Order: sequence, then C-alpha cells, then structure tokens
Amino acid sequence: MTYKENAATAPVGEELLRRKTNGKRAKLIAKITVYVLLGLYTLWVIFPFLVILLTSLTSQEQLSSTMNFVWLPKPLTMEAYRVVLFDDIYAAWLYGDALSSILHGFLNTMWQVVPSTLAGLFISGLSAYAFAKIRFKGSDVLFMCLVATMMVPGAVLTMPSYLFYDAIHWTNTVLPLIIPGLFGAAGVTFFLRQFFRGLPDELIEAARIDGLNDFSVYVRIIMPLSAPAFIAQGVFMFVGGYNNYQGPLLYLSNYPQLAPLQLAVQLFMGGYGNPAIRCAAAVVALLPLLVLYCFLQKYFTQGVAMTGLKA
Amino acid sequence: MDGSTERAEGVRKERKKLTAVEKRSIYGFATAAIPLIGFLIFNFIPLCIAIATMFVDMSGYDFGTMQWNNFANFATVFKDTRFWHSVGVSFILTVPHMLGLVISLLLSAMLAQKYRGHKLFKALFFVPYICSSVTIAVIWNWIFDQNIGILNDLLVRLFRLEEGPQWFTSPLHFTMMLITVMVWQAPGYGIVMFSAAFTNVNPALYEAAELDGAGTVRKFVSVTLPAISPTIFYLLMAGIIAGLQTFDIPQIFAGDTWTGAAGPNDAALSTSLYIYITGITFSHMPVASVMSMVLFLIIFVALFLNFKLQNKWVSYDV
Repeated sequence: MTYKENAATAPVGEELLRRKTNGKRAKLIAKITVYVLLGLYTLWVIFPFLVILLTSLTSQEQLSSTMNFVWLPKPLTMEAYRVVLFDDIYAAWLYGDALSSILHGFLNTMWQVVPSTLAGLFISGLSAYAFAKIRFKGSDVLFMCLVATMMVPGAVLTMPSYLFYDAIHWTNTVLPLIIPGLFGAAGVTFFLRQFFRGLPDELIEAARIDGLNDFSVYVRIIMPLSAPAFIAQGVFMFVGGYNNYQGPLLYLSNYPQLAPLQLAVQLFMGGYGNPAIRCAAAVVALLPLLVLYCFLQKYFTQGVAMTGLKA
Repeated sequence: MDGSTERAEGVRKERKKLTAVEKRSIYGFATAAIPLIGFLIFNFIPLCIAIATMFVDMSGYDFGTMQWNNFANFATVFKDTRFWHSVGVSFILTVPHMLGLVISLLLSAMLAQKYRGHKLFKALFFVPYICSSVTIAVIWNWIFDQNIGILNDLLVRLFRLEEGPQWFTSPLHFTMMLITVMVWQAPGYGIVMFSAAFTNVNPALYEAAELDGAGTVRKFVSVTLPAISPTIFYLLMAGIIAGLQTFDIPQIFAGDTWTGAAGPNDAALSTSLYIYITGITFSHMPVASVMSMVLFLIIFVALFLNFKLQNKWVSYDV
C-alpha cells in the first residue's frame, strides 16, 4: 500500500483545521444537493402513480368535455372503480356471473400462482438440501448442469416450449403455467443451497442420530431455520407469477375465463375507451402487490439481491 | 456363539451400513435432480424438437407434415430485413438498461451517505421494479396519450407548441417513449445490488484515501468504483440479457395480434416480439425456431465479448 509513504505528506496543524471548517460547509452543500436530487427522483418515481390516481377519480363527463388533460377532477368520483370492480359489462356473458373480469382475474392469479409457488419453493429447497448436505455420486456434475440451465435465455425457450405444449395438448389450458413450476426453479435451488451450506452439519448429524431421515430433517429442522430465506425467495417467485404476462398471453389468450389478472387487465382495456376506467383497473391491479410490499419490503429486496450475484 | 457367526454378523452389519449410505446417496441424487428433470422435460426436450424443426417445412404445429427443405428456413431468416431490423431494435432496447445502470449507481452512491430517510428513499425507488409490465404500459400509454395525455399538455404549455409530439405515429418518438418507460422501471434492481455492494467496500480503504487528502468525488472514483466493479459488470451482463430479450412492453404498446404490425415502421419490433409474431400469429414455427437460435447466438456473442473485455476494467482483488 502507498498509505505509509503518503502519510508523510499529509496535512498538519492549521492547514488541517482550515480544511475542516471548509469541509463542514462543503458537507452541508453536499447534503442539500443529495436531498434535492433524491427529491427530484422521488417525484419522477411517483409522478406516474399520481397521474393514474388523478385520472381514475375523474368523471367521464369531465374527461369528454375537456379537450385536455384534467388536472382537477370535479367532482371526485369513484365511478370508475365501481365499474372495474362491480359493474363490468363483459362479466355476465364471459363468466355468467356478476363478478367483474378484474376480480375474476385476481382470483385466477391466486389459484394459478400461489399453490405452484409454494410447491415449487418446497421442491427447490428439497433439491437444495441434497446439494448442500448430502454427499452423493455425481453431485458436482448435477450441480454444473443446474447452473448451466440458468444460463439459457428464457426468450430462446418460448417458442420451443409452445410447440411442445401444443403437441401434448396443453395449449389453452393452465397446465403450462403451473406444472413446470412444480419441479422447482434452478435459481431458487441455487440460492437456497448457498443458504443451507451456512447451517452447521452437526445439527443434521444430531437429528439423524435421533432417527430422523433426510426428508424429515429438511422439513422439521432446515425449513423452520431458513424461514427468512424461504420467504424472500417465495416473495420473489410470487411477484414473478403475479406479474407474468407472456405466459398467460401465449396459453390463455383464447380462454379469457381463465385469464389471470395481468391478462384480464390487458383484455379489459380493449373493451373500455374511458381513460378513467383503464387507470382505475391499473390501480386495482397494482394495489395488492404494493400492500404486500409495504409489509414484506425487506424480503422483496433480499429475494432480488440474493438471486442476483453470488456466483 | 462361535467366532465365525460373530464375523458373519459383523459383515452383515457392514453391509447394512453400506446400504444406508447408498440409500442416502440415492435419495440425495433423486431429490437434487428434480429441478433438472423439470428443465429436461419442459425446456430441453422442446429445445431439441425445435432444433429439428429448423430443417423442415411444416404446416402449423403439425409434426406429421414435417418435410426436409434444404436449409430454406435459414435462408428465409437471413434474407428477412424485418428480422435484422428487429435485432437492431433489441439492441436499442438495451439502452434503457444501461441508463438504468448509471442512474442506479448515482442514486446508490447518494443513498450510501446514509442521510436521514435514506431507507425510505430506497424503499420507494424500488417500487417501479415490482410493477407489472401490463400496468406500466397502461400508465405510460395514458401519460403519452397524443391528444389528452398529461405529457403533451405540459409540453404544449411549457414550450408554447401548437401541438405535442406524435408519440405513437413517429418511429423516433415511439422509440423514445419505449426507452423512457423502461428507464422508469429499470433502476430498482440496480439500486438493491449496488447498495449491497457499497456496504461491502472495505472501510479501511476510505480511511487511507482520506489521509491522502482525497475528496468525496476522488474517493468515489478511486476507491468505490474499482471495489464495486464486479457488480457493475454483473448488472451490465444482466442488462444486456434483459434488453435483448425485451418482449412485454413493446408487445403491449404496439403488438397487433391480427396483422403482426409493431408500431410505426416497426419501431417496437424487438426480436422476441418478432419471434412471437412469426411463431404464434403466423404459425411459422420452423422459421421462429431459427430466429430463436439466432437470438441465442447473438446474446451469447454479446456476453462473450463483454466477458472478454472485463479484465480491462473489472477488479476482483478488493
């Protein structure tokens, strides 16, 4: 290091003092600059949300009578939300009930995404446990293959998978959106393996001496101990499923009854010209995730950070 | 009990032990392999089938009609100017990820000062990243609305224009719009990654730099940047991969399910979207397969070049 040589030329005495007071002012200026920039960026981030919130509360009369953007909705009306949630004109002939497309979409998302996320998480962990804690022949090769699968860009696999699903008559069903996920995800396995490796081997040995087999060790000891890691990965997977657009577009476009929320919002758009209704639909679609984010913010960012680097 | 049976007992025990280890080994292999089996069934086998279709003519998705065609699909793709245009569009759509990288770097540097409220800012800046592409498209479609959108309203008032830019009819403006939308979403990921990287920089390096009289900017350039260069490199790679595969935003903004058009002068025709149009809208699966493989190759080459260049600027020794 050059640290020692330079220490000799470092400033001393008065010079240092002067520098310090100057430094104080500079620090204050820096602080103000940082706050201003962060404030501006905050504005840029929330501006789009404010715009749709504003428009969603505008009445159709005001929207069509003003030939410009409506800055001040008068009166504020929840009419658009009523249409989106309870008075969708397509609900009756599409589903045969009064529940709107958006709510149907939300329910579809829930049953299509939540169970397969939980199952996929469990299986990924099961696989990760074997990679982390069991010595078996071929584990290195298997692990290399696992990593290799993570390198294949998803866009390249889209059409091949579609062709395959069509051949086994899975197109226009939810199966392509659910079944592959049940086998776990390579990225999640990769991360959980990393996490499990940090857990002491003695713990597992002790449990095995007590007569637990590996499966029980995983379920009864590893899973409770790794709850934060599981939640982080689960949240990450759930957000991916909730926001998934291409999958439902490919397999459920012709089957709006089964369309999950994102596709429902997209299909719903076509039917309504009123911007207030479109904005209200977007707000409704965003809200569940934003609420979840408020409560589980730590896990959202952890899941992202962990699945990223660490190679 | 005589000695021989005792020994036999021992051998039997040994055998039993061995099978227990073997059993465990089998259990390990079987459970570890589950995600790979999933990949094998749902991705690898389809990939092999797709590779086979590259060399044949086929009507619709019917394998029964497969017929060898002397590499005609390759010729079709290579002569298809629309395809090469789409490759260009995909490269343009890596720009928002690069901009997002720079923005997230600057923001994380500011957040790393740990001024009061930095956690709140960080939490807020991450929000666009979790928004779905459909909702983002709805939001920005409305903002960019040519007639009564808020943006043109602001532009007309601020610059006293006759009318705002034609975002949806001019190719240049359409591209700018797509980039803006994607830049809004992109930095969230980078902020999380950089924030982690910043906390991992060895504090002793900063102290040393301070003793040398380095200012804030100098410290950032000489200490922080080299220390976090692996993260920059990773995000650069991730950005290239994500950008070259862009599908959702262009599809929702401009994808026409019936005609296969994609915005003014195909300004939104990313390669992924073109593959989708070819394979699904027009049911030309063999051609779509060739395009998929070419895209694979392009991504691979881009990453390879990036990887080769990394030892010029990425340092792993801090």
